[in-house]
Amino acid sequence: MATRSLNDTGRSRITHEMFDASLSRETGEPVLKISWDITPLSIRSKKKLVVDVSNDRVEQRVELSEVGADVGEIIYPLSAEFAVGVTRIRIVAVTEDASGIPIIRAESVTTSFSTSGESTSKSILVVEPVADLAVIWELDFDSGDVILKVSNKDNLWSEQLRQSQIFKSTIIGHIVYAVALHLLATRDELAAGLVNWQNLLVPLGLNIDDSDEADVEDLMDQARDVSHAFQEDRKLLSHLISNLEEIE
Amino acid sequence: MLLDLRVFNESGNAKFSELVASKHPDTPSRAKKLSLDDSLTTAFISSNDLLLPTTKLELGQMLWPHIGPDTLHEDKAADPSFWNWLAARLMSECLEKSKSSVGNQKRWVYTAGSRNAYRHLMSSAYLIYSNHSDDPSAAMAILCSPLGVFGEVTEQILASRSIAGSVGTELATSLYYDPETKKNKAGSGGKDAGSPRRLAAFLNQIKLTVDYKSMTVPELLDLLPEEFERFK
Repeated sequence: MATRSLNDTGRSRITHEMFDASLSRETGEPVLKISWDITPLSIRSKKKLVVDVSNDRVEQRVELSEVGADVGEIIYPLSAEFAVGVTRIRIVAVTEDASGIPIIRAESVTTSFSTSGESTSKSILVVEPVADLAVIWELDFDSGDVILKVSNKDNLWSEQLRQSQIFKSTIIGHIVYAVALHLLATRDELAAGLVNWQNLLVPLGLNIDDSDEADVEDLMDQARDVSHAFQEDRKLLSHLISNLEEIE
Repeated sequence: MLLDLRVFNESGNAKFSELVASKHPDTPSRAKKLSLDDSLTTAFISSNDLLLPTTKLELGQMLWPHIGPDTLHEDKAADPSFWNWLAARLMSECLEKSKSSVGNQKRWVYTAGSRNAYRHLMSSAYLIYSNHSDDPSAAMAILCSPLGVFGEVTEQILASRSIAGSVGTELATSLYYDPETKKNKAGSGGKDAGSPRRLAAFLNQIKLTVDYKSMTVPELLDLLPEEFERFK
């Protein structure tokens, strides 16, 4: 089993089942809506619930509940900075220790929202349409999530590729390969989005424990094997053939 | 004086990127020429009060009334085409004052992504001003420096959004900025004990358990290890 994990400090995890978040940008004014129920965590001491909202440039903190209510809902307009691009949120429950120092008692995994409104609370792969991308697609690991940037030049993504099962089924193997290789080669503590990928790929043969000592060719071989296992597990070849038959 | 604020069009952005990548010795003056080319740019503000900024503070003060929140052009604050244009326009003045070379391309050409976006000289200076617009004095450890100089304090604070966007910048100002000289203290550019690098490492370490973002500067100063005493 893999040993690297984000949640190794004794704090609890606010899971996706405990909150629902959406980011609306329909009028050009980003509005964050979050509802939560953290009663399963049974945090009895006085607490404060906050959400840290960030993108590549800025971070903004929103207080969800001054009194730390276990259940609630908030609709909060964000600054114009969050009108475009990938926006990330992380919910944190804070209590105070005996000396008054604020302690993180629980935190959620990071959820990312793309410009198109998709979020990692529903999928571990967020698609970000980019009008000026010079290639058809590329992966971005910078945020700690796996962001699939797809060209939206001449509305390529929004009008063509978004609906194309053929496009999706032909690139997913490459994506899994790249993510697996990234996980094998990363020496730092993993961010939340990549932990989710790790959990998905370990049962398919990803072995991170020994990756420190392996050479690059071994890592590439392992990433390829994991990608093969994923594609077979999800029967991607059969899906592709049936999609092509439907078109004919 | 700048006279106007502009954005590059697609071709302007491409030409500026190529120019910076070329490392041509005449890059600064060529960049200014691109920034004044009407076929590569579109002006969105024309004004006589756009004084040429020499520090990050002056840049923030100059731009805030025009691209700050709730202004007509607030979208420009997140527009790479604007930051690239401004970098092209101010590059020669910046380098002349700092007596340095063009250096890292990402200082001038806005590069998206959380590990790169903060490296842009103009965009990051404005961002820090914007985060502390109600009290810029709290961010003087970064805002005091010349526009063309990134510096160790700026690098370490901006590299972590969670530090830059919270009390971390104020803490750095409290430690490293000397209000009397209006400069950062001697030794704040180093990498040894008590340096900005050590401060960022400390905050990034305690953030796993301590919510330092909800603490005040005096509370955090009390929490800092002894190595920071020399800057207190």
